[in-house]
Amino acid sequence: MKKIFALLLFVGILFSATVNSAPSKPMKGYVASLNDMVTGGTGKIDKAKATELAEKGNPIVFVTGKGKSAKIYFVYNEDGTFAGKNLAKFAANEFIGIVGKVKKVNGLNILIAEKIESMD
Amino acid sequence: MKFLKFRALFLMLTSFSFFFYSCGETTSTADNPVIESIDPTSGTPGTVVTIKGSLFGDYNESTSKVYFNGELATNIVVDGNQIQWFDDEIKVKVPARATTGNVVVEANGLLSNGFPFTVPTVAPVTDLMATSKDDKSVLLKWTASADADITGYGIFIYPLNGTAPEDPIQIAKGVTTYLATGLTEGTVYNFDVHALKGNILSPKSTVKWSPASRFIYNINDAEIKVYETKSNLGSGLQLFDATGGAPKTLKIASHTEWDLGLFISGTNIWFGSASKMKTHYPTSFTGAAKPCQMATNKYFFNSLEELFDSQALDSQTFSDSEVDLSTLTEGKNVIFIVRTNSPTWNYAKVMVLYKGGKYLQGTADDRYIEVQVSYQKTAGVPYAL
Repeated sequence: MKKIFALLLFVGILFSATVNSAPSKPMKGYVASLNDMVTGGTGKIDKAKATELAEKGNPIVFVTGKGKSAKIYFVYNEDGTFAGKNLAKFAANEFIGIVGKVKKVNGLNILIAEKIESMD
Repeated sequence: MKFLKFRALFLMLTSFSFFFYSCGETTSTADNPVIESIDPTSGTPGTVVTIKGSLFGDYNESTSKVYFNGELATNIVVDGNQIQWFDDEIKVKVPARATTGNVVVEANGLLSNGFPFTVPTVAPVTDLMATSKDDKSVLLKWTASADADITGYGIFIYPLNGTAPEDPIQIAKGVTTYLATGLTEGTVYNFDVHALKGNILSPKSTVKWSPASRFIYNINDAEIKVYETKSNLGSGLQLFDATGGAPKTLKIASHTEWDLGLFISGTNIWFGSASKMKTHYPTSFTGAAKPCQMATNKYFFNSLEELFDSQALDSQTFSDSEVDLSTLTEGKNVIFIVRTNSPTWNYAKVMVLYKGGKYLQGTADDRYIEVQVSYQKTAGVPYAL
């Protein structure tokens, strides 16, 4: 019985780690305008434009991968606020790295950012 | 015989004629203005001086001039509607920046003899130095005049190839700093500082300087950090990224854009030219290192505000070099003078912050140094900070 409990506990921890992964290494990607991507663009914008969009409440997102394997993440700060304005500061970078926790909420990729840094 | 006498007479007359003609050509001083007297022969700026002599000619705004020891007197006295400039007499006010020396009259491009004139002296300021506060302002400081009875200080600010304004900026006695604002980055200015005793100016102390951009944040509006070798983040620093408009930290993959880099080995913290970093990262630093040189001198201060200069930065000795920060024992922020973008060079000062008793901050494997940068965006202008 104890062995079964221990096994279940191990599987539970393993499952939890898979769902709420906390990578120690940063996820590499770039800052993009969701509006621009939806209308067929690459999403790449300069810092001034990104800041302007973020100020108006337009979604600034984090994109990893390329082409069909590209993934779009909505980035949140650890206090639960949307990190669009913070992301906008990194729009001039070719690549940035985000250390944080990934979640999936109703099909949306959510990234709770602990740290955002340049990866150029 | 008669023919010979006539020939000798002819030669004599010809020689005399040539002599007199030559005198007329070479003694051009005959047409130059002449000063015969000056009254008074000493005085402070603003004093009306009467110059008597000859050949001063009619007054012409562009060709009639009086100099006091080389300083143009712009105030010819006007009495009613009559400018007091006559062929034999001129009345003029001693200019604000006049110093003891000769008075000279210029008329139609011809200069007079010099006539001595004394301006009472005031001991000048010493140790005048400048620092760039930001891209629009320069901070000056100096040591007070040795004269105890000065009334204040006067500062003239003008571009290197421009002319000084007529009136100085007045500074109160006891104040020995001045923040010059509204300047343009990349323009080199003369800053002439005089001690004042009433309307008497001391000889000037001069420093040339230019405003320069100062950065405490990188292109991402965050502190400028350069990370250790083991980190996933950048170990290189680009002093100014034109796209982002600020310094930028770069990873090894972008090593060809590094100006400076960081390499940590054991307890050693090597910080220096990209070319030096190339030797520390032999397998990954495969491209050509960007030329970036550091001056031999380094400075230890609590803030960038404290470092002033009196000479252009190109007077320093530069080379590709690096410094082991772990060997510095001064216990303060260290400032390096750097230049990049050969051959015209952009000059900068880079300050590595000393926090909590150390230069290396953070935790393994993301330890970093934090820097602040003063960068002159105009190439070839050796003034920053």
